[in-house]
Amino acid sequence: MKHFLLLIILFNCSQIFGQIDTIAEQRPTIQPTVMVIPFAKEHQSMRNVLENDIYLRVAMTKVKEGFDNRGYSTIDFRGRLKQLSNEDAMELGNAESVKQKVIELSGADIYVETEAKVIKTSKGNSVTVIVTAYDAFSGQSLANKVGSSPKFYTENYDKLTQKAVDDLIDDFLNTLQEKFTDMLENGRTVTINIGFSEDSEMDMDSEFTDDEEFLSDLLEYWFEDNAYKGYFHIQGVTATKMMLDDVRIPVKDPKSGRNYRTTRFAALITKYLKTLDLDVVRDVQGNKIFITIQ
Amino acid sequence: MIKYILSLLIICNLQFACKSTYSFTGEVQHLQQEEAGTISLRSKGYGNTKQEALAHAEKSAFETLIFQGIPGSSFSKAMISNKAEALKTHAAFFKNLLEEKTYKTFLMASEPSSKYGMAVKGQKNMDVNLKINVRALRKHLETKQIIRKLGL
Repeated sequence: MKHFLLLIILFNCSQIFGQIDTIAEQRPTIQPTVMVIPFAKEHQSMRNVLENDIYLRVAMTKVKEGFDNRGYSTIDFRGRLKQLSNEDAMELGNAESVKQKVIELSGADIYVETEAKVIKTSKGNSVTVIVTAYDAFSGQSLANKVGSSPKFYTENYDKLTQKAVDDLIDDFLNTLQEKFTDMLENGRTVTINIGFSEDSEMDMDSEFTDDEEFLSDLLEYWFEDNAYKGYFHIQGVTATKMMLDDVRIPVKDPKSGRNYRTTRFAALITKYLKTLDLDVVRDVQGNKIFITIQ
Repeated sequence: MIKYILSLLIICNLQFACKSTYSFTGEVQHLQQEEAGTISLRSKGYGNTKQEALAHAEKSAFETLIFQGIPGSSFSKAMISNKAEALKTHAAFFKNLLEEKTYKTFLMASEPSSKYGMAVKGQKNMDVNLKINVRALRKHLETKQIIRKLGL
């Protein structure tokens, strides 16, 4: 009987340990900052659009709520807009400049442009909402989705707007998550521009090493070894310039697990060029790296 | 010794007796999205008894929602794209969710919508209307680290 009990205990233990392995290792999730902004046409004031369109405000609030429901905080656009004084906003004039200024001021990594349109027909009214997420630095579109409410014989457009956002928000956030996952697996994109100062005696065709290889060739080899998973794309090479429009860098530092910053990759390139006895000046703007060889 | 082996066999059989032996069919249709974070589905279940068919329909609905997504709904994308890998890596979790029916925690409604009867292929089946709390399900998958939280 004792043996029988032992067997049952052992059997149950195996079940319990099977459950425990589901609790995977805790990994911190780095959250890029997101700001939901209104869509404004050219020459339209973003402030006016926001203040005069109640349905747009409802749509923006619902999109923010969607992020909140997934445990994701967003930067408040109106708060940031208020930080821009009236004078600044007037000076900046068109919507694009205000948008750029607010994005820069907010430090948002991603901005989500939102548009709401009321559609009135004889068969009922509906609201269509369009949301598009952009990388704030590259302007690359990350996710976009259109959602429409069903048609109702109602003028309660607030409710219709909410229904339109409900229709799209989950798929929109899932698409955004797919992009995040892709970034984690394949790295994020930086653009690199390598040029020469006016008085530089060097150019891309300057020969290095005993094999008389060009500087551009050496740089290509270096990117092969140092771009994340060897992924990079050269947009063009001339005697005075090398332009790379897609160089992948890791999202996290593989050693420390911390965010891998663009400045760190720029420092790596600088360090390499210095090993070739070249004087270098670097400039980093968001995800753009500018290297000037003196 | 024979007694022990017999006891073990009985325990094992009891475990497997609870499981549906019918394979996943993906016969799941989107009905409507009533409120944000929920989804209403119609799922076809197969089984030798009405209860077995009901359980199979529920399980198929969850499998489709998690591993394939529901076209035409707000959840058209799969929560987990690589089913085989997920079932291998998180075997115990999915055994608990799908076989031991923890999914019932996320079921807001489960009502048969057709009579249990004979199908063309000779397998008895039944349609079931289900309402699932997708938001809670996703949260559960995130908490258990089966899927990533929104973000990098």
